[in-house]
Amino acid sequence: MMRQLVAISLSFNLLLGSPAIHADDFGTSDNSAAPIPEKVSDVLQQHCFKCHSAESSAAGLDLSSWEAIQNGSDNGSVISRDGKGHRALLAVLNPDAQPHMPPNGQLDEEAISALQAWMDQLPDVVAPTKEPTLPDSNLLPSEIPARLAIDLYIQQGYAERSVVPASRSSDLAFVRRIYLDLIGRIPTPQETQQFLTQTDSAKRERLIDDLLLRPEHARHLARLFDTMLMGRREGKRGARRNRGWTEYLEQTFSQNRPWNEFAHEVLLGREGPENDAHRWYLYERENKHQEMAESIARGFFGIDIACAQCHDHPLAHEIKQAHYWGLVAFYKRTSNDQQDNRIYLKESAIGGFDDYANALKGTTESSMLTFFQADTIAEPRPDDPAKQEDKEEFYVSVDGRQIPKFSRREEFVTQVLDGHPLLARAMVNRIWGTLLGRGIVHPIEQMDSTKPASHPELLSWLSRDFESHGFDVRRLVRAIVTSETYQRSSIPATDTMPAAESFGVALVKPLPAESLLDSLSVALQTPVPLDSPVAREWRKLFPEVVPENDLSNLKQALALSNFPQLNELLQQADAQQPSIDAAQIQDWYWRVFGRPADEMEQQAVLNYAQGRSERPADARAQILWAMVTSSEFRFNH
Amino acid sequence: MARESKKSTRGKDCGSSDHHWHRRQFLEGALAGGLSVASFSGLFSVPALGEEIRRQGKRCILLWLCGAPSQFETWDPKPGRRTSGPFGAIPTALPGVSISELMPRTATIMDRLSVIRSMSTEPSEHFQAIDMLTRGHAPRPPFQRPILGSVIAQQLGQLDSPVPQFVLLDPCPEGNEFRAFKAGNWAGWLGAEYGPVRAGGDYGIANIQKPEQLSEADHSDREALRQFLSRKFENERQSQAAGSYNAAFARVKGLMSCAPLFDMDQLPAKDRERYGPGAFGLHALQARHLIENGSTCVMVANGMPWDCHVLNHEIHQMLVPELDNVIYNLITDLEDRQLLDDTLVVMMGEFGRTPWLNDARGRDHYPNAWSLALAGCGIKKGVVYGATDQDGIGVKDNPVNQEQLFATIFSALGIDPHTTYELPGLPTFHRVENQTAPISEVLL
Repeated sequence: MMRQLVAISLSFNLLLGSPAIHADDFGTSDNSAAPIPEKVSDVLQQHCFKCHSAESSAAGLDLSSWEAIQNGSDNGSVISRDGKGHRALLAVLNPDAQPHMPPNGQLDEEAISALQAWMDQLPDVVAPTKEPTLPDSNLLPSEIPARLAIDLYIQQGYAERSVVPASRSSDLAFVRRIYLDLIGRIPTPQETQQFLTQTDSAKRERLIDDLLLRPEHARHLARLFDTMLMGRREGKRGARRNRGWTEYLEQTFSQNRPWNEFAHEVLLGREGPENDAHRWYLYERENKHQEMAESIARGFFGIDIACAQCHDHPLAHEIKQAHYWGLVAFYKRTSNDQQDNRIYLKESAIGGFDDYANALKGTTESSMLTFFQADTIAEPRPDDPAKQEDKEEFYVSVDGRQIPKFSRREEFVTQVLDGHPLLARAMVNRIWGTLLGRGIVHPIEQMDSTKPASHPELLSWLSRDFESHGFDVRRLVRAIVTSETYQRSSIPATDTMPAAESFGVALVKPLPAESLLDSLSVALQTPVPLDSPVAREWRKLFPEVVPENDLSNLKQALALSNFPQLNELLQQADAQQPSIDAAQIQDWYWRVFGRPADEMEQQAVLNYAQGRSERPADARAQILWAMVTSSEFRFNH
Repeated sequence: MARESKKSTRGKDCGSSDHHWHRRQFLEGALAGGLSVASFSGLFSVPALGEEIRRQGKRCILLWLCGAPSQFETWDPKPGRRTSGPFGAIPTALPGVSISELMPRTATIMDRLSVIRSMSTEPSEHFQAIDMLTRGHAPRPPFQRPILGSVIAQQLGQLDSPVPQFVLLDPCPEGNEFRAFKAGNWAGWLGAEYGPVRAGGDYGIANIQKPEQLSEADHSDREALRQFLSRKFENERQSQAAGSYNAAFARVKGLMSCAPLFDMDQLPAKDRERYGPGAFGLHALQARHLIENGSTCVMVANGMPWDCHVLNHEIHQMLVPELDNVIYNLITDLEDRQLLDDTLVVMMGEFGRTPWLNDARGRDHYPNAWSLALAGCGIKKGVVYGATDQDGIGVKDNPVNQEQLFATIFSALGIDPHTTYELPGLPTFHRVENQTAPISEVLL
């Protein structure tokens, strides 16, 4: 995980334009001496690296460095002795081993004895060093601009992965992309033109700053976060609006409130009796404490703990069943309440001492107030919880509400949430994922040891930066979209497509439903209200914000082809236009794709229209259909 | 719907640029070598013509018992032993062989089945086990091995048929790990066009009917224009996202033309009564119907109801009789219609369940010793292969792993299990790794 920064010193100096600072000054540490004899590393390189290196770690096994070897494979350590005294890495080399390595060959005795001699010196048990937390001294200095740190780390990755990055995006590509990413819709032809006519070098940054301050930006982020934090529940849309949750989210982003403050507020769900909107986060879960725990873990810590309900996480060993039931316990005493048509989250001072069974071990344990990467919070446990009596002395009265003196929820936000290392990391990774189409850890809500970061130092640097700048979301968004990394073209520079996780080319990102709908409004110059049938259907078809994979499905293609209300919408668009000529086609191209049609495209569309000259209304609807269902429209690129 | 002609186009390029494109998809991430694309249509070598003809018309129905049923309450009862549940064992049409009393109808046709009682696999968690037992191998990055149904569709099916070649019938959008698994990449390196058409239950296939105001011709022309207008964008970007988006559109027209195939109401009421009323049974019937009308592989699933960590016996008492009925009807129907010899029926989950009960009187995951059944195409009738010890704790004879199982399934269908796939700079892949031999005892 610890990588040399020397490789990037050249580009760093170029970018910074200052020869005074050299990357060597940033505490490039010597890789802790790898105790691998040369003979052994030769054998590994020759016979094993094809499948077990940093690039392709089959079965999760990377043999390319001592550090990686210590971390073993998906099945655990490969060099520690097992119950029978065998070391897996050696055992698989025997001619009759099952499985056998290498799969298509047999190492000779010399190679095996070299490995044997090396391993004989190793301790019986070699502990993994999984996910070492990088000391800050190994990161680039905190003073450099965040967008620069992004570009430096990403460029370092290009060198390591032998990636030729795509060139800078064209102005046309950039303006479409930035509108979609910051305000959730394509630009109008006028907005595109306005950007194109500017010629100075600061125009991209100026546009970014303009968009970041528009109400549409806050609305866009609010929608994305509503989906990510609350899930798509069609039946709850009205309640979220009526209870002020939707507006509360918009205000959070328009006022650029610190992310940790927001998290603290919604997860405590208490202060501010005059305004109850923030309480909707927990209230909507309707006393389902496991659902609360699972969505808090995903939404604020970026980890999926659902697997740990019945047993410790089978693959991400660090996620324990105790964490699952610990987080449940923090919320177990919470229940929905209403008073004067305001919603409250009542908390009891007693109860919530539950036992959980481990489905694999058949054992039973008591839940404690604990969570992943946090201490266990002491709480007196009554001898017989069932017989504990609730007493007034357990509570204090605040603004007419009874608050327990020992509040588990309050313990959670003050002792676990505030300052938790994942709070910043998960948000950085989430924002990165929404803007780049893929998390530094991907999927973005599985930030555990099974999903290594593509750029671990960058994630650490940005998280530190985010934290030390007051969890400033707008600053983070700005840093990312002003980077060269974000502004690359989506057209690869060579025939070799860079791997998605290298960020060497702008990823073609599927638009979430809301962006598709708002862009449809712009393209057709016809409003598509968010409660229209098309909008309801699209939310079902295109539900995700940062999908785990970018595969389309047949359901989507069928609906785009046949959904009756889409076809009706298309028939209404431009209904006043009598004929279809070249000018009309160019106009459509600017509206839908934000670019002119080339000659072939214009001719194809003209031909299509001429074949239907008797019925121009049909031709128009069909051409518009072909445009708004094309991949160029459906994706951000 | 009339039976589709069985003219095979397998091994040839269908001519569309799309097709060509998807051959490239499986290289995602591995393209770094700048490899030539020309050779991929020969991903697996084209077999001799004789074999080609022999394989005509072979099909597969996979009854995917997700969540994993208990072998004790199905194929491998241990009456009187401490590991047995409350259900007894009954004799079957196969002398000396007993199965759970919850399967009386299947007992009468045991002489048509091959049961493997010695499955012994490794993953004990659903996601990993589902992945392994549907693909035949543990993950081996950077390539994603295609799922069984995709391989069968690619090998035995016709890509240009309007009838979907690989169909997943699963009425249940839920099901924890299976749900997550369903969202993954099923066709793997074969490319999106070999992924399943998903249908089933209440959600059927939405939007399969053309909008009324649009003529057939306009519907097709409009799509052709759409493809044309997308071309420039896609030529410039080697995007998997855009590729799979287009692949989905390419299948719309064909699927629409066989909308009636997916209309449960068109099936005889008497049949629906025999298989129903449960969704699993009705989908088994639909699978039969699809197979009769040109589909190559139909996977029938039902969420993952078999995961009985709680009240194992009670839940099996509900689920096994339905399975019993479905197996009996499906096998005898296929036999009556003279389809059984060409149709392989596979009945399995991702592992078995523990010999012992947990505190909640459930049986937990148990990959060490479990059972499954095969019947039809290429499979011997009336075989019980392998055995567990008297308490069903370990495999006593002939342990079978996922590779042997897949070698057997492929061999039964006339697909070479050992075809190799080579790319410079990457390890060799085989359809089934390690030259694993099929189980000759269950093969015809």
